[in-house]
Amino acid sequence: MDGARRQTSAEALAREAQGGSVHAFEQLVERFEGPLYNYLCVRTGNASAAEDLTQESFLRAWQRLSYYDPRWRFSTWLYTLAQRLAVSAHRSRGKEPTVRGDEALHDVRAGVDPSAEVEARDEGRALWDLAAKVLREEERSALWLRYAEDLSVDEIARILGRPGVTVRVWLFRGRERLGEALERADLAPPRAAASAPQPLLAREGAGGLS
Amino acid sequence: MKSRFRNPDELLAFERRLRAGAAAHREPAPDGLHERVLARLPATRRDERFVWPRGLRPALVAAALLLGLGLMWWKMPAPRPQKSGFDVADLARGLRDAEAIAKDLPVRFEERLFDEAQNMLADTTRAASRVLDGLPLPLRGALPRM
Repeated sequence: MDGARRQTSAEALAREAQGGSVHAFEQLVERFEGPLYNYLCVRTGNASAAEDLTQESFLRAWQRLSYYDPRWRFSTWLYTLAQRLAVSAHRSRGKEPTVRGDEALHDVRAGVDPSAEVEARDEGRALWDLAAKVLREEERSALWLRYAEDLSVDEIARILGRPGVTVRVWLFRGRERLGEALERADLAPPRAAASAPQPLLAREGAGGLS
Repeated sequence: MKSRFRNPDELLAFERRLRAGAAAHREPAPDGLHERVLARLPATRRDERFVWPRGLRPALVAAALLLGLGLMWWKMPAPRPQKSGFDVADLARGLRDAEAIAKDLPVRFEERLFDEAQNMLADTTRAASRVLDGLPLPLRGALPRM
């Protein structure tokens, strides 16, 4: 029974929950609480706020479930609700100062031991920690949704409530700024030693901003 | 837009690092979050989406259509009735206009009319004298003196 339930798509569970099934909604909470919490951590840069927002997002989803259209992905709908709540919370508490520049790089360097063989896990953590410090909120949100949640640009655009072109620009800028910050932090420069330099213009023209 | 990644391989390698880093960066949801959400569900009011009762929507559309047509009919100018027969109002209007025209005649036309009247009077007097002169004497005596 439990195995069969795991096979059920989120959309089918949402349809059951629309019919009043608390059990189906429990499954949805179980399935999405981790990813949503992590996204909100990246989005807000604050674990406590992310926890509150995750809880509120699920409650809002339960409240507004009758408006969910099962033709669309449940995750996109849930993230959109969470995004709106995060924006409201951000507005109500005011803009918090973002740590930037050398201070951020110092913090990141301090968290990684350069003398030891840096494990991939530590490097990955450091990469996103750095992203949280040097990128703008919308840039790191877009990057996380693209590379952690593996969402398409259109889905990200729907969640963030912006046109696809804007999302592509955020992704591009986010990668550029993070790459630059990585070099400055001397963690692991993004330069690949593999192939000879090629003009990037052709790639950018064919969707390099994605 | 100029990129700091000099070739597609560099970009792909960086994207791989971002994906791998995200997997490493993930943390489990805080303990008790699941339970806290579920505990609050019963107290959370669920919004009921408004659903049109069966048949009400077409009825409302039909009513709106009828209302629109009625308004169009109401706003349309009514056709004027055809004129038929003698119209007293038109006659009165014509007389009033004639009076106005007569009043507006120039004074010189009045003078000419006066002259014409005098001429007509003289001609009539002469004709009358000739007629009287031609009558037999007894009959002429019986007529009152002119």
